[in-house]
Amino acid sequence: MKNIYLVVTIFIVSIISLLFLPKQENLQSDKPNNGENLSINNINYFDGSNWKKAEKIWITQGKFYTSKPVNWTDNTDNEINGKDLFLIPGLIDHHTHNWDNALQEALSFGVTTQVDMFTHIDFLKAQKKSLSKNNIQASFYSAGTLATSSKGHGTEYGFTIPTIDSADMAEQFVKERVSEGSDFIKIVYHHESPYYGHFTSIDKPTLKALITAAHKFNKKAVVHISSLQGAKEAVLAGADGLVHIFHDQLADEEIISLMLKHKVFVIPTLSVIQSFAEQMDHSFILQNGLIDKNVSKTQKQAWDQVLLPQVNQSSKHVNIFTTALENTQRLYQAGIPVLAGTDAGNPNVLHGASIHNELYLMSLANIPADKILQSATMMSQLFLDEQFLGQLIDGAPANMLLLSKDPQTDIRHSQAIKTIFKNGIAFNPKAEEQASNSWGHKLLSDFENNSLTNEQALSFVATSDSMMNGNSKAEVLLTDNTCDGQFGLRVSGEIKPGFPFPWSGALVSFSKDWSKSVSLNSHRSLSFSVKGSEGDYRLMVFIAKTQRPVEIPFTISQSCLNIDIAFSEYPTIDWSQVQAFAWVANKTSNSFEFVLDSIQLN
Amino acid sequence: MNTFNLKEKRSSYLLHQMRVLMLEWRNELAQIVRSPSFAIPALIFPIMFYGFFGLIFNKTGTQGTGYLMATYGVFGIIGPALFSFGVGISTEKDQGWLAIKLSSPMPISFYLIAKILSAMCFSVIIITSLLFMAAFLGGVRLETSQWLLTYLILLIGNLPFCGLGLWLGLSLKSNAAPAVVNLIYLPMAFLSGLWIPINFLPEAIQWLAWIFPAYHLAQIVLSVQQLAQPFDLTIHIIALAVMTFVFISLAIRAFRFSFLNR
Repeated sequence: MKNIYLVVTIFIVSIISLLFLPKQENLQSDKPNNGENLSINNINYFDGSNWKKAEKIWITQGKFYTSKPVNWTDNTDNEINGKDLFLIPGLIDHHTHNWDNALQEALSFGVTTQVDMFTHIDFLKAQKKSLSKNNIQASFYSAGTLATSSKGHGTEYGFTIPTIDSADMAEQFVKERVSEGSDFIKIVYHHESPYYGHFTSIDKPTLKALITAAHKFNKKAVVHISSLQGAKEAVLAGADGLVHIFHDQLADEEIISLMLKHKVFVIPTLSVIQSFAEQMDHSFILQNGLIDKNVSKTQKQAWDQVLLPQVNQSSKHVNIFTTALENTQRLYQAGIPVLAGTDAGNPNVLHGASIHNELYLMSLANIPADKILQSATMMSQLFLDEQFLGQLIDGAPANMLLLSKDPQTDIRHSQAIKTIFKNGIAFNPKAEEQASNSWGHKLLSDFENNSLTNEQALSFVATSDSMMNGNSKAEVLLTDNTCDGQFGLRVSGEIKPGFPFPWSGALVSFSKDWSKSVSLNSHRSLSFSVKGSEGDYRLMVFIAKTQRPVEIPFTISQSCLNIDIAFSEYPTIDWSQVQAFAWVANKTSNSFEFVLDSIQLN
Repeated sequence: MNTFNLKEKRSSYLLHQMRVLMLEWRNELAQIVRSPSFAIPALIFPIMFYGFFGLIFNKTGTQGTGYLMATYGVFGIIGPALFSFGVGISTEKDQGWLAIKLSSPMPISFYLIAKILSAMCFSVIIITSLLFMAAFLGGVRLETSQWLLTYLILLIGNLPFCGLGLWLGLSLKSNAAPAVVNLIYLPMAFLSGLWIPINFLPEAIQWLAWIFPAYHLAQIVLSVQQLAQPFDLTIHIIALAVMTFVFISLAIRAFRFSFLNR
């Protein structure tokens, strides 16, 4: 029997030992924030609706108070003199698409709440855990999977999503989304129009059935439209909001009266329309503001580049942006609620940073500054059923921005952020601390150590769009069929259609989880020797806080070539924030194979 | 006075029965421990595989490490359950040992419970090792409740596979059992997404996974970390319960066929 007691003891000990396993950091904890008490004296603050002047405001237990909380003890160490400062609620971006570290990125630019209009279900599930208490990333509300037809917009991103093609599926579809944790239902609907593209759309009865089902489950239904006719049909079908401004023609009386009658709000997403229309610029950037300091040089260059004359820049593209601006103005002036949203996650529309562009664009639509602030704060309550969202009133979570310039005089002063508070805790963007570690080593790898990992523990790995459910393949192996020395890196693979931006090749990142970027400013070029299947290839340079890698073309022939990429020839690349390099085959290649060797920073 | 005696007798009887069960369990454990060719691979393989594929060669970050901790946990607990029952019972049946057990005064349920408890002992070692490896070598961070839930679900998750093993053990000849159990165990592990995440498998194969209890158990365990596929958890729980019921029903049928209709 002694043996049995021993077994039972081991069992109990194993259970108890689980209590000592490492727990999640507060980042994903349910525990309320117990940040330190803080008070701000003589402060002008915007409560979400109006500007107010207070002799003192208090923050305790992560919440905002306009009168002294019970058990408050004064501590001059935790007092901020608010003279010449301005306090506004944390900004809310009502139209985003989130993955990876989007929520952290958003918070680092003052967006304390991200409203997500479509993301991967795994991201939704991972983020659903009490994010309103999360102190180092934006809070998160999401539609989860959007409602679209089987070949509709939303199905092109390389992962399979449930779709809907008939009205009788609507209730079940909505029920599934609700059970997955969707906070609201987002529907993609296109009235047939010249800009319809190659996508299909759900029909009108299905649109109506989806909205009815959403309301049955007590969820708001918002509709993606792009045309005036689509907007009218969505409003008549009972939509609560339109998640883009229509930009095919100017708003007429009918749409205005319909939206007023049915109390429908609109999220114009001028930023994404501006990007799509190739009308981006950086006039919205406040000198020495958060964006000026923290957005990479590469991204700023990218914003500028879309302004350069493009071969395909037709007047149609220009018109859609001016039409969108005009329509936003018309709807606002008619009294239709306008909510700020960017469609971040799209090219040139950044999480966090672009909300400041959106606010600026709204000012170009002649919306007054305090109304713009409302659109990015308190007006959320028209959409999301959350008591304190976007407000600085007694008991509200202290999600707020302390500004050094008055946004009433120029909305761009929203970028003059002195401190970002999330749940009463001052946010300290880790990314800044991590950025710009100068990389002193010269040799990235010559593979002579007979390993895919170099002396600095950087590993060369295969990379392809298969990680996004694409069909391309890649493989890396050491080979002795090399340009010089004993070993080299043999990269082989196949580019196959199946992902919008197919790629396949080899990658080396300066940190395992991509958390680190390095500065290559002390180097002048990257050189490598290469031979293999003849054709055009690309060196991808991944820059921190930039959505897509910069691509530098190079050619491979069957005999060894020494390629030297001088950094000075690519001034648009911010070489101080490099995260990774990848050598990949061109989109047009099929099967390929090449040998890389002597990869060196000079 | 009589009532007191009756109570005393009843508790003494229960104590005796408990002692019989404990002895049976101890014997079962001793038998397994004295068969290192079974015990060592059963313990080492899941831990080793997880070390290789979940930690060393895993390129998907801590979320992948946590994912594979759950799925290799399922892989780990299936082995002892399937082999202890599937191979063990078929051998004992063919050797006549099961017939002796049946004719002994010990309830046959004790024989089965002892086997379940023994399989669970193995599971305890495997699960604890995997969770500690994930936490301290793989950087997985979960709430205490999530660690405990993962542990308990995996432990209870033994039962459907004990049922499956019991059916196989009672149905198969002892010389066929190891091959058949392996033929079920390894493809089921792969097709259920225990070795590589189910999302990485072709879509048709993803649907095939629904017929395997290992897939449903893996999804339940993954749901603790909110990493399961987007299907209702109750579907997996019901599927697993139905499969357990079916396996036990088939086992009863096989038992009747082997011992009662002879």
